[in-house]
Amino acid sequence: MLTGFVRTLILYVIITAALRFMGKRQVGQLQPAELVITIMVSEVATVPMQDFGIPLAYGIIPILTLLCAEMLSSALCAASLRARSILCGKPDFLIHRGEPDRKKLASLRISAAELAEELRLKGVFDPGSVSTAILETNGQLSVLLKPDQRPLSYAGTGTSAEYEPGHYTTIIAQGTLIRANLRMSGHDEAWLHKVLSAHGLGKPSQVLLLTVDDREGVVLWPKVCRKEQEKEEGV
Amino acid sequence: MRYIALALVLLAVIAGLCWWNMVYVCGILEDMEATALQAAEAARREEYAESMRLIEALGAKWERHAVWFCAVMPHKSLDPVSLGLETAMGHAQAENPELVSELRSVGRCLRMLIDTECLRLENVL
Repeated sequence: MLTGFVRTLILYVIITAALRFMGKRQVGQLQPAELVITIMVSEVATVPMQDFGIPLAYGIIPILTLLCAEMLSSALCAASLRARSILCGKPDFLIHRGEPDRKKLASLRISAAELAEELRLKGVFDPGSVSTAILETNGQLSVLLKPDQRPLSYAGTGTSAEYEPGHYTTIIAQGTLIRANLRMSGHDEAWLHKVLSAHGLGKPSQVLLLTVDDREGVVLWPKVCRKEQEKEEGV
Repeated sequence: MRYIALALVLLAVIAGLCWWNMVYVCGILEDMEATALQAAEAARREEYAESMRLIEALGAKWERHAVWFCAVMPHKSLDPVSLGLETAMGHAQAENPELVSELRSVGRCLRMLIDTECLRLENVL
């Protein structure tokens, strides 16, 4: 088991280093360390799962070791920029002030066609409309359009928008009352009872979904639609 | 910093548990190996009664720790020892001279288990 512990750590370091050298494109949506964990944990878990002659400890110890190693690397990334740049890399500016960085594209082995494809996936069909494009550490491309290409916003027109509710809290979901959310929204059970009564309901278990926003706007979906109920009752 | 410390502590705990397991299991296996070699020596001197007593002690110790061994070692590496002890018991009851080689074979299997369980460079690589 101690041998398994040491081997797991060594393999973790090697695979993380290999993925870093492979580059961001292979990583997709995950950070390199997260991808390593995802692959290795699933591989390790299947070994004792399929072979009953192999002790469970041969799967559990490596999995726990991998989780601790991942916790350590993510905590280091959070605590230190230098550690983050070593473990996850740095974002790269592929387009800066409307001009592509040709050296960066070559070093990352990204062709112009691939860059155009990534821009299209972001909804940008005209590369000339891009002010900045950043390849993030998880392989995703962030795009900032040129000012005259951006969608018009209230700030751009010099007017101010009327305040709209922004925070919606789910109070009941699938008939279950979420007391913590009820308290967080600043209400109590008396208020809840009043709301349910106003909709002709008696208890939370009759509710499919109940949300309240920060302007006291309530959305309530009963489990049984009133029209369906009336139809069943032959009304 | 708190999570870094927590991760390091957890890693140290896992390593410590594995280390303790290694020391515990290797201690039992080395003791059994010594007993098996003693039994082989007794059989070589044709002291079959003494040899059988030692084999019974070996078997009892193996049974006592069977669950722990199954939990921490592959079953296919434990089977040769179990079969070897059964065969040795048969030879001892029949006072068969092949008992010596059988007990030495059991000793070698136990040594292989010890070598596999220990933290060694060749195991890691």
